[in-house]
Amino acid sequence: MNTTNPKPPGESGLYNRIAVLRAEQGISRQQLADAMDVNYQTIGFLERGEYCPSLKLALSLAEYFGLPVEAIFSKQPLQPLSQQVYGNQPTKASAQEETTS
Amino acid sequence: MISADSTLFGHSLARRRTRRWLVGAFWGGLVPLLCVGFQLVFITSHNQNGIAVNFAVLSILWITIWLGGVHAGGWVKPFRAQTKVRNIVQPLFAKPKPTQSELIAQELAMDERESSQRDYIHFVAYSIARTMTLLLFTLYYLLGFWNQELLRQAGPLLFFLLTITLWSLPQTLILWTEPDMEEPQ
Repeated sequence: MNTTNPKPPGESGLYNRIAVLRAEQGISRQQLADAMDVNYQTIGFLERGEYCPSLKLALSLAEYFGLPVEAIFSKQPLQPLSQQVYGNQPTKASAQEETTS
Repeated sequence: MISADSTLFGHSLARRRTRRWLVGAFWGGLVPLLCVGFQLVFITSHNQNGIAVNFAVLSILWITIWLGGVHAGGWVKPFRAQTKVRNIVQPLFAKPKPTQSELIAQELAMDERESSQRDYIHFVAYSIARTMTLLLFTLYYLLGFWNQELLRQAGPLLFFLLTITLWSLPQTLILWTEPDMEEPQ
């Protein structure tokens, strides 16, 4: 199964798309942290799956990105957004990435 | 807690390796030196109650300044904000209560991950200290059976070591376990 985050989700047991969404919007960790009123390092911990956010922070992130919470956090490995929305098949690049990882 | 711009004598504390050196220097160098110094002063002093107590108090104060203490002060500052414990204890000493805005500012200074990490580290420190207290107490008790004179000499040292541990362990654990700090890019 192709995923955006094939690595284990760290200590939190949660997979998330924060890094992808942040890159998509072109904002830094510091900018996102300021918007969430947390330390920028907490964003790094979240992205690496090393910290399980509170419900309040998860909802704030969902509100910030304009997505439902379950589109950002999941207990299961997350599919690429393009594949989830449009049902695209994995590209050669992603397939190659999967085989190497 | 520890940030990318934390420094001590010009050395960045962002790297875990540096912080572990600091912890090693503290427990491997400074604490044994303080224990030896404490014991020497205690044994050789004619006025034990005066000099020994003064030395102990000054040493502990210096230690807490060095590793930062549980609160935000100190050189290393493993915890950025004051803890809630201080807000509870402070009124007992008839100091002015912090205003609501100050309390809010204190809470904002440490976010939810840092607060939970701080609380977890204090739980771990308590678990370690609890075992250590039992071991030291057992040692103290056994010394009483074995050699009363040794007990008289070692008792204050054990108490001193316990005090250092209780005051420095949470900071030690934070400095040791927090990963390398990232840049806010």
